[in-house]
Amino acid sequence: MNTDNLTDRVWPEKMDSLRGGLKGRLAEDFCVLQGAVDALTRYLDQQAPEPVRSTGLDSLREMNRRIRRLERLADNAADLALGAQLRRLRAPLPMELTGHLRALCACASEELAACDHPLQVIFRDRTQGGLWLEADDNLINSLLANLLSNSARAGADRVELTCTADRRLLYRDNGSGADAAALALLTQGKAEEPFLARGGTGLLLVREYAAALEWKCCPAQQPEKGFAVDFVLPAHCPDPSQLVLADGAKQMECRHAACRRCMQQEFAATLWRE
Amino acid sequence: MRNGDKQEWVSALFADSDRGQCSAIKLYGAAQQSVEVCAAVTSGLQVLEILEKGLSPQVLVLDTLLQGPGLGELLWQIGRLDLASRPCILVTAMPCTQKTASRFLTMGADCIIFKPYTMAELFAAVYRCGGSDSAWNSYRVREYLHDMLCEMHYNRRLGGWNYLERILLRTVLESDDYIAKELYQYAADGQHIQPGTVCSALQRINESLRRTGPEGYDRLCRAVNKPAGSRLSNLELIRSLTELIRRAMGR
Repeated sequence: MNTDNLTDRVWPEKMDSLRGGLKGRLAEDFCVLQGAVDALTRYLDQQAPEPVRSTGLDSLREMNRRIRRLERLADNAADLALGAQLRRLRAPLPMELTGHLRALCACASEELAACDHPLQVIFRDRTQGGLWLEADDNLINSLLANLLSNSARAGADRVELTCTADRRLLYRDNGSGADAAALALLTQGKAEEPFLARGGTGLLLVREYAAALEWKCCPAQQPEKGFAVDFVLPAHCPDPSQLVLADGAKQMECRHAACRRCMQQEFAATLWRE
Repeated sequence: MRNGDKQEWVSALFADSDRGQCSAIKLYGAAQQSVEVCAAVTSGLQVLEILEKGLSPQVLVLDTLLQGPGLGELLWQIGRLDLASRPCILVTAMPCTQKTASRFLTMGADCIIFKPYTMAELFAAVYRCGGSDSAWNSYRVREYLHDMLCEMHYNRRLGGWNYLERILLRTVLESDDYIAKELYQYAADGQHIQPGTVCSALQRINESLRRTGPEGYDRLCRAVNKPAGSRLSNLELIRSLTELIRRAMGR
């Protein structure tokens, strides 16, 4: 029996208190702040005379961008602070990974294009018939969104995500590559202080999300130009007593909507232009 | 009735214990024409008083953190009131488990919106709850147009927006088959203006967008397969906006 899972398990009451705790308070405050900025923006846009209107709107746009960045940072910080407990807020459900990743790549490419970034995300299915696993799709979305925004900022214009039959997920980009400190953090969990001070929390989160999914982060042969990382996925052991009837189409729709929101939040916060 | 001739209003009563949020709701409500903010109050008791006085909003927006009485008690009390028509109840909540969300729905809420949300998302949810399906489609066209032109820094007060909006309600929701002259006539009908006035207004909008939002204008060009940096005709502008709004609506 895996005792780690037992100690990390969060009961519904505790879930509520966690949600209503750090993340809930952050959500509440961001909501009010965003509401005030939205209302002022709409009001100025329609009622204020020039040049108050354009100057005011410029300031409010800037505030909007800052709110998005802070919202993302606060979300990441809360995930790191609450660690293992928060990661297991949603029970993992059986899912077919290749279908989800195909949709995620298409969605990520669209959202990157909307931010005027040339990065294309390509999915390659080498599984010969799909790959089932038990996972929380929100964790997969967050993990890949962090990696993709890193690739985009490293100047990559192509990311290849390959799913193989031996249950591996390979991530490759053609950006400026990662230094030794970044790779050590990602694959061995060795966090060097100067690296974290430069903003390496994204990779720390990737490692946290991978751990929550029980995906093993493995060092990959680094390409001449670019960055590579492999994830070894756990075996799929379906438990017949946990089987539930679900509306597949509805579930898929919810997953796609959550994926788009995750990508939008990540890219809007990290790739906006000055 | 033609699209754009009459915009369907949805009346809503908001209750949120945060005074800042109530002020923002009132201000946002004053600057848009789709949702009538009957009141924005800070306690459950005020909601009951307003409903008992006979005000009959189409939508009630209630926050889960409301006090005096709290949400559960308030929903029960509302259920006991003898109202002329039952309002649709939208609950604003912090992210919660499926079980908690189901509890709100069992207690009488019709839908839930989770924080943090933008005012645009909140008002859209209110409109979706209280408006008809056809009005919802028109609402989405209007809002997407608003977002796109705002992103391109267009000043709505320069005029012509209403003509463009009427034209797009037709091109997005109704017909693919149109010529510029016919659309100008359509926008001018019943407005006591000549089609030429509509044409001039669209030219002004076109020119202004090209100047104030060059990046967005390039996206408009690409939507009608023209290279970035091109100058669009009025009809091309309408076609590109139609295409982008349809894409955003998933049509």
